Amino acid sequence: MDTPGYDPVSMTGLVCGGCNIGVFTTGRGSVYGCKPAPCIKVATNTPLYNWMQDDMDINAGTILDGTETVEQVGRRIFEKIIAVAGGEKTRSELAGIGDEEFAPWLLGPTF
Amino acid sequence: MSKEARFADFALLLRDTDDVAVIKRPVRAGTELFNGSTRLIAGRDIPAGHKLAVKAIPDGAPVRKYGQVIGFAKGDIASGDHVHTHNLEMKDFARDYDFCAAARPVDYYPPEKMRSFQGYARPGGRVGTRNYVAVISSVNCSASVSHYVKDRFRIEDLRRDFPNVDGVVAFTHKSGCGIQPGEPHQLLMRVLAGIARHPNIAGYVMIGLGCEVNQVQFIRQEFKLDELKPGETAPTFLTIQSTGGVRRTVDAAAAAVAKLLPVTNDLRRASQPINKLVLAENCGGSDGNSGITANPALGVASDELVRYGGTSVLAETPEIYGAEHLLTRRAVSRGVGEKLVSLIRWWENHARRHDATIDNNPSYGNKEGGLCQPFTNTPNRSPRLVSVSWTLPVTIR
Repeated sequence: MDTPGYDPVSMTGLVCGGCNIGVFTTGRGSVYGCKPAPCIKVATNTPLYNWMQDDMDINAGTILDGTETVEQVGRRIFEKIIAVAGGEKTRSELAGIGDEEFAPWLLGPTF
Repeated sequence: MSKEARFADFALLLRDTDDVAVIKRPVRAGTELFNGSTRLIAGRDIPAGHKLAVKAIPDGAPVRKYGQVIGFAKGDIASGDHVHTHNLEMKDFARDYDFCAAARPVDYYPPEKMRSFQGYARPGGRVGTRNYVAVISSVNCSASVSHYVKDRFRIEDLRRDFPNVDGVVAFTHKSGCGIQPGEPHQLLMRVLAGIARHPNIAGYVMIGLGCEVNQVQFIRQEFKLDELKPGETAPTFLTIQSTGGVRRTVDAAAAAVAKLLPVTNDLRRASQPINKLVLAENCGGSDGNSGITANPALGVASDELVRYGGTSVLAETPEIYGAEHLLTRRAVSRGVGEKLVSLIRWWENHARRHDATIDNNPSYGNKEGGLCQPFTNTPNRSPRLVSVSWTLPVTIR
């Protein structure tokens, strides 16, 4: 889908385009949530995952740590997608995030 | 005396042909990293997620990471140097679009292998993963009213009285008037209708002011919101001006939501095939690790979902910029590949029209995390989103 890179706008576009689940990767620590679709957040590194564990659903930093392969983390993300689709709450849902993050792409001048 | 350390403990070389490695743990200036017979001395302190030159790169030469050109050396770069915004620059270079060359057929799982999840079957074959009631504003002028309606339904009360309802959400925004009737208006209408029709929304109320450009009436007609499929709950459409002000509108909308709640609460999850999942992929608040850990892993999950017949959607076109040739190779048809290239051209024009440069998107935190300013949108950043592990064909709908 053709969207800006600005996360709330791209996710709003994706969800309004019909996506019923999201996976959001972050290295700096985004706390994004996107009602009405659940949004699974994946930390790119272990220090971030440990520091912001309440906001992160999965740690992919294990790949850098050498304890898991890309394939193994990919499998974990896939299983998480199925669990969350079936009702398991994501961290951002537990935190109640997602009402204010609805951000339609505002194109063109305001008159 | 310099400190000695194993290269593999501190850095990761993504491809043997790469000029730079990714730093896994912060490296102090002067640290000697040894890798078999090869030794590198870190030129300065290098933070995790940043790049280290593993060989000498002469001024103007291309710099490769992920096997892709991520920029060009600005001045001579010595082996062991920190490679970042100070010595890496962006230049135009020819990319071979090679349309469809790598579009291999999807090796779908056979039907008997289909997996399932517990979802909400919606009329028309759509499937929800959540069960919300929405209050949708057509214009900013009805945003507070939408919030007042939502505030009448506290989440604690909902959990007690309607445990199968995930919540009442007010979808409000800052626009809806003072906009062009063309594309900007179409885009906003499409987004609002998309929420109204979303499989995770069991029912909704749409509220406008009355005199705005983005008329509730237009959205209703244009997106046929009154044409209900059997079993669909009828929406309620209100404007503040025709209902008689804020208080009356909040009362009327809250009454409509109150009627939707028991109906929504009666819906139950049931077994649904995972090919009903439509996955949104996003990479944000990125760092230098995004492209080597979380994104390739997400690529594995995405490919797996597609092999079950599900859908996976990549967006963020400006972040594809510079790596579009990696997607055009996987385009299902030449037309799709050319459309992607035309989107890239649109973004270049869009940036030019606003005196901006498309290669200057990364935020302060992105750069601090090891992504490079002059190049970041191009391969330096984009492969993290595009190349690494997604392998299946690409189409545009």
